[in-house]
Amino acid sequence: MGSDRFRGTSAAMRMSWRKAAATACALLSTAAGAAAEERLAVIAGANLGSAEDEPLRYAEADANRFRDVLVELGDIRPDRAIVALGGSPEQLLQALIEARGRAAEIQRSGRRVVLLFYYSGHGDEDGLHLPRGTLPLSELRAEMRRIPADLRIAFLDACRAPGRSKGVRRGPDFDLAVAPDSPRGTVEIRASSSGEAAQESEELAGAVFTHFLLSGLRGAADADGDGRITLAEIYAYAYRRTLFRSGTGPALQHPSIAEELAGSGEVVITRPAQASATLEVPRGDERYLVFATPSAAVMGELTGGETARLALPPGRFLVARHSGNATAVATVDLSWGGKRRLTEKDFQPISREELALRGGRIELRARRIEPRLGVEFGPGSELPFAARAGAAIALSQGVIEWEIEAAYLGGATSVAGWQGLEQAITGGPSVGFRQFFGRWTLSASLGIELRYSWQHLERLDRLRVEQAGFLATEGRSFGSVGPRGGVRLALPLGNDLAASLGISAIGLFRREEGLAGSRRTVFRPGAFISAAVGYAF
Amino acid sequence: MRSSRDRRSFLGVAGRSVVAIAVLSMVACGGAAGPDYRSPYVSLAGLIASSEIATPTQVRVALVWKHRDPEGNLLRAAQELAVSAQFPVRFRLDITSLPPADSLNQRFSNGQYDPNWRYATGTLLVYEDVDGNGILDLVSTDAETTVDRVLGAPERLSVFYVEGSAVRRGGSGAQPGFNLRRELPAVDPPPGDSTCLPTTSQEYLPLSTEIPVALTAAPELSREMCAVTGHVLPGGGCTGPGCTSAPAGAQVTCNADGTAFVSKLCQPPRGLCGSTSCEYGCGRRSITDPVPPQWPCR
Repeated sequence: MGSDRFRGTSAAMRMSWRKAAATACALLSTAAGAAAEERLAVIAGANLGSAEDEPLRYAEADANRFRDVLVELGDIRPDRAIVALGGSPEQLLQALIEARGRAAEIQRSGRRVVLLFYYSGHGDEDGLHLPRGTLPLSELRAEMRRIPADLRIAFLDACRAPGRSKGVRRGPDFDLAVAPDSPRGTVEIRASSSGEAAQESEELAGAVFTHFLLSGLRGAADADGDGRITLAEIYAYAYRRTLFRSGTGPALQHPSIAEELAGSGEVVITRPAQASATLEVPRGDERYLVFATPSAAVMGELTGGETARLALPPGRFLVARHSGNATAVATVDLSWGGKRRLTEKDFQPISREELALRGGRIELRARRIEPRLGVEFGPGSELPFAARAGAAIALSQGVIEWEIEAAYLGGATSVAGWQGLEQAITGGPSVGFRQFFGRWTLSASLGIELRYSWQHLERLDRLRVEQAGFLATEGRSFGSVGPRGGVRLALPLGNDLAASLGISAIGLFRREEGLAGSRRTVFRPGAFISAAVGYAF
Repeated sequence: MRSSRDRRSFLGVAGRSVVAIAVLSMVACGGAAGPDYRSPYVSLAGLIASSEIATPTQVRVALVWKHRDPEGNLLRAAQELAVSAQFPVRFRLDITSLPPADSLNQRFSNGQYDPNWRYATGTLLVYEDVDGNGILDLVSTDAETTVDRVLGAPERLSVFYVEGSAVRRGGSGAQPGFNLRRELPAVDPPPGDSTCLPTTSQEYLPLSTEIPVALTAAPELSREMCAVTGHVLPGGGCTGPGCTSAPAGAQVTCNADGTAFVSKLCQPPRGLCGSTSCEYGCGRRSITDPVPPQWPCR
């Protein structure tokens, strides 16, 4: 925790999390029968604060991750998640004004409006520190109140400096549980209590509170296992985990909640059960950090002793397990969604140093062998089409991939007065640069093609030629070399297999014979397409 | 670090492989038969012996194969040759394909044609590709003008091609494949000859013999561009005991004692592609016989 950053310092104002959780739980009721609900979100993040604030590293990334979770699991349409990163107070207010317009539009259609607000960045007891000024919390709250929403939930992951009270009245406790309507009002959850700092973590690549908030929203907070994360569950989980985590560092951090609510029914924030991909870890005392690969973004955290299920977007993940001093990692491919339950045998021990150094960038199956089958085109050459079959072995290192390929090439050849067969052993080394687009991996490579060819030629009118006393066949062999570049698109077929399709352009320099034995060096361009199934190990 | 070791090992293997294949490629002799590959059956050497004309830019060389059909017509087919100029007046001709199958004749032997001994006779033509289409344009029988212009042809030299299962290598005659043949001047039949036909003979030259070509652009060379030339077989005059006179205008040759003669009457060609024909007549009498009234030898 030595590298953790503080989002401010403040004096004490603390609210018992148990009481807050109890208050939230008191609001539990079903939404059944309520009017149809539409959700809006305004999500803000700013790495830079005021001049006195130390720049943050992950605030804007946290905002984006929060937005992704809401879109994935929170019933928020992408176009209704308004994101404002960096900028000025006016820009943030403008985002809220935009949300006000959309909320009014939804309300006119007779549907219930739920507004979610998230901010990650510097702040204090009185306001949010944006790069171009401070937005007073009173102004923020006033603007939020102008939004015609039935329910407003705000998550503020910022520090709280000493000052006046938050200005949000605490709502009644249990008496609202019997109210007939869906919950209405305002809830504000803050990353820390008054006087405390909100911390960032290098290990978690984000703010500590937001990390557990997101983990909880992805399913780690699902205490009752019903596949829904309610306001009560998320607060209870984020409070507990943030407090526990900060307890291992230099300063405690107590997330707080303030609410003004009326009505009944559960306030469901996310529904992990509707996720297309789910990861389960073995039950136990171990702690699991889930990284997306290859971005190494932290997707969430699970503790085997709690709910051991995390909802994820389709993709590939690295799961790092911490158990005492032992660390181990496992890779999971959920590119096509589905549920994957990890077992003990999926994990490979790894040193703490390497895990600390490379984190989510560890590649367990960095080597790949890939049989390939394709067709090569040589327009204008004596070998216009040829079959190409071979294999490549590759070594991945993040976005870079080293590869060497060897292949057999064969096809019918014809030149003036001759026809026959041309065969070659071809291939060579290349280096590729990978880009990842969802479940697709696109790699662009550059390399060298080395080729040794054999030509077996036969005169077109063999019988006449032989009866005229000439040799009707001829054998030739020659080498050629040149650059090669191409792109390959790969799609996972499971944890170890991937299918790919590639197209490459090659240019080969070689010696060619013309009339009566005259020779010259020529450049012959070509291209080939190949399909492959690769096995990672 | 395990990954660093992997990388070093991988690069080591890759590096050695590259070097090995590169060395193999470099030491490999031979060249590819690319799209421009032409493997000549025969290369002939030519020499511009003289030139009476300004050499045009579009000069090409064609090998015109001649085939005689059953009616005695001479059919021609042109085959373009690749020419490599060798400064200043020498050139090399590469024959990269066999004569067209329909240009082949069958040898007449023992009273019948032998399909297992086929031959073709070709004439080299140096021509100006006037229309620039890259080929020698042959013209029809009734043509009055030509498309291209023949600049020269080797005198009495032809390319003689032989193929077939009955063709044997060896001896001094034609060998299987391409031959260079000198056509010796035809010898008129001697007075009183029973066949009354001119005698032709050839000799075969080494393929390395330099072929002289005089560039004259003579009009009669245009005849070689006719796709078909009519019947040109010599003969047709009288022979035997009843042959006692020569046609008017014929060239007559008598023996010493005036008892035998041979007459030769040639008709000039009609039109560009008309045939040249010569009619021979051979008469003989006994010295004791009375001299016939129109006997040309007195």
